[in-house]
Amino acid sequence: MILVNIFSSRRTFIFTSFKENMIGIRRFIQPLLGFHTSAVQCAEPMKKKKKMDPSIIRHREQRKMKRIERSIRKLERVERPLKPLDETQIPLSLKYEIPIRQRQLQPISQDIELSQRELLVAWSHHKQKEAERDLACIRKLLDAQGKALKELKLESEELYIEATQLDLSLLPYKAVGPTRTPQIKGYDPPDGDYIDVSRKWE
Amino acid sequence: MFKQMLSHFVKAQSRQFSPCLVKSQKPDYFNSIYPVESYTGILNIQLKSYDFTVLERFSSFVHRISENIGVDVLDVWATPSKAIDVVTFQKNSHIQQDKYHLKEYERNVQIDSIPASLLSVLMEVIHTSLPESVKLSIHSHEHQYDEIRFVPDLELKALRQELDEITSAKNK
Repeated sequence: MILVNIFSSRRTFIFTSFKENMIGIRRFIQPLLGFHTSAVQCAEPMKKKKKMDPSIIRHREQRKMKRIERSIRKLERVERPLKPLDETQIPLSLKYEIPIRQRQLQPISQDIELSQRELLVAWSHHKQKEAERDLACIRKLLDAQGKALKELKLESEELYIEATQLDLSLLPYKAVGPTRTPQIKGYDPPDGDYIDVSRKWE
Repeated sequence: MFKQMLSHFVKAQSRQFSPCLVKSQKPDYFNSIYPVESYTGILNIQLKSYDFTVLERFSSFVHRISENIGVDVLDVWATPSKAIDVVTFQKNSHIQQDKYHLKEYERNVQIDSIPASLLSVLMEVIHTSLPESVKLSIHSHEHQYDEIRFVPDLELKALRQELDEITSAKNK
């Protein structure tokens, strides 16, 4: 179906009389009919919008909400996977390099094996003693604290309660390990930036 | 055996002068009227470091020491690491001089509620034994520390958003 656009154009006529007493210019605004056609639409003209029944709209919305809630519940039931830790994963390139990297070791002599075993025993003995010393130190700490609290309780109930209260200013407790060297006097640290380039999961 | 002895010793000591530990023998209302030793909630001992081997060793040390002190360790986990580009600039300019690519690893040791006096001992022990390059943070456990370990479900998030939109449009 071809739509026909009918529009009017304006054209001014300057009318002069041939008669000598006609003075002035008369302007006539006369419509000029022009026909203009558009491209082939292959469509109907717009239909009149009918008002939807509000109960039907509500019903549709409720159904949609129920559908969404059902799918949410289904997804929630599935166990979420943990993010992989890159420090625990072996790079794939190494897996292909295993035959190259495998060592063909010569058997060790008896003396060397014996000395290795003695070393292992001595080391484990040393570490055991170290752990025992640590625990003894902690026990002394707890012992002293216990005795002090006990005496405090005998002295005054109130002060004991105050002493055993949790100090909220302690949490969160932040600390950093020691540095390799002491502070370097007059050191001018360079300017810089820390840019977080970790993988984004969102 | 020594471990058991120590933890038994500690628990016995604390039982002597904190009646709230013997909750089973006293009715509940007694604790509310007479407040005694206050307890911390569930705490996270968070250890961060750029050096992974040191961090692993230290986290196992913290776990072992907490158990020996008599603290209940609920869980030990690793949070995914952060990749950081550290850029240094030349003097008084924005021209890049060096660029380092570092990874900051993280380990968490979660401990159960303990009396405040025990917490101070634990804090001191961990702080004094902190190795080089390790950062310590002891804080109460929050939901965000759990969430960050899991892969976020984008589909679920989109559905929830859609549902919120519909309900908010309805309420209007």
